[in-house]
Amino acid sequence: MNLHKVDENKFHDDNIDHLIRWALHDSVAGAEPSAQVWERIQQGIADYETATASAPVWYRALWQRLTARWLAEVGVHVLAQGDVQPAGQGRMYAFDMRAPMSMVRIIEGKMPVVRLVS
Amino acid sequence: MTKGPDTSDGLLIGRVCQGDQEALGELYDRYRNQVFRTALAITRNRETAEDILQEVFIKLYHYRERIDTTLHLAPWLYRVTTNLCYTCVSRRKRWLTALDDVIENIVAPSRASPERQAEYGELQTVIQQAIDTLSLNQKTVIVLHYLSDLSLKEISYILAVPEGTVKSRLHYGRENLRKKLKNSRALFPEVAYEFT
Repeated sequence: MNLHKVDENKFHDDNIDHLIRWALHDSVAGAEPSAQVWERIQQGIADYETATASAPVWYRALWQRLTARWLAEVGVHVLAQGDVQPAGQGRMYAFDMRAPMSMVRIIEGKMPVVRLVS
Repeated sequence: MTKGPDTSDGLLIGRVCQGDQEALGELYDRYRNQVFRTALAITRNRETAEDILQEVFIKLYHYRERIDTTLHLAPWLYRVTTNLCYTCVSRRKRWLTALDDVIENIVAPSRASPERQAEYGELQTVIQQAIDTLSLNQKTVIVLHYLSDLSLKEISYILAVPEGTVKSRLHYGRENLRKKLKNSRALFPEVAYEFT
């Protein structure tokens, strides 16, 4: 698809779809991610594998419980960070560095519910 | 959602499930540009788009067991990509609003200068700026529809909203762009463009 200047002093409404498509394609044409992205992905996977393989039994149990529900993502963060502390009465405190404002989370033992407390 | 998948995607995911990272690499090579360019078009930031691409494929690995290999992989990737774009853009907005205000005050006088006006004369820039002023909801639908060539039904699945909502966002997004571009005619008063 080629765009050409024409001599008319008109803005063609019908061109709007073409213009949007052209502008968007043109703005990212040829853009490719750097090679480092794939390296970072591999590193991220390696970190995740290490965290899950070396985690204590109660970590793994927590992980299984979390992944059984909708909290898989939190479970990944928690295990990747390796920063969960048992807090008694079946509760665990998790500090998630990737959350905005570094919010502290409490993971309930009986039901895997995460509450943002600060 | 769409049945009759690209079977090789399903096979590759099966291999990823068995811990084969080469298979993940093949999927990465197949989809990296699509994911990256979509994220770049929405976020307008190369570094953020690379972070999103990285996160998408790490998520693919984490959730490999749950991915339905009988469906196309692309909609799943678009869904994760747009979700991450939403998170990044809204987080960036929250943190940079104050900074933007400062920058706005510093550059505002020069923005009105003829040099700046001339700089904005490029049609591509004008349209891109108009797209950037759309709400995130409208912009995302516009990018998925016009850049990624996805149907309303596919976008509906990706964004997890009804098809009518997608249609409405596309309609109002287009109308907003039409108005903004008409208003921008002062930037190219004697020039019209056509596609051939």
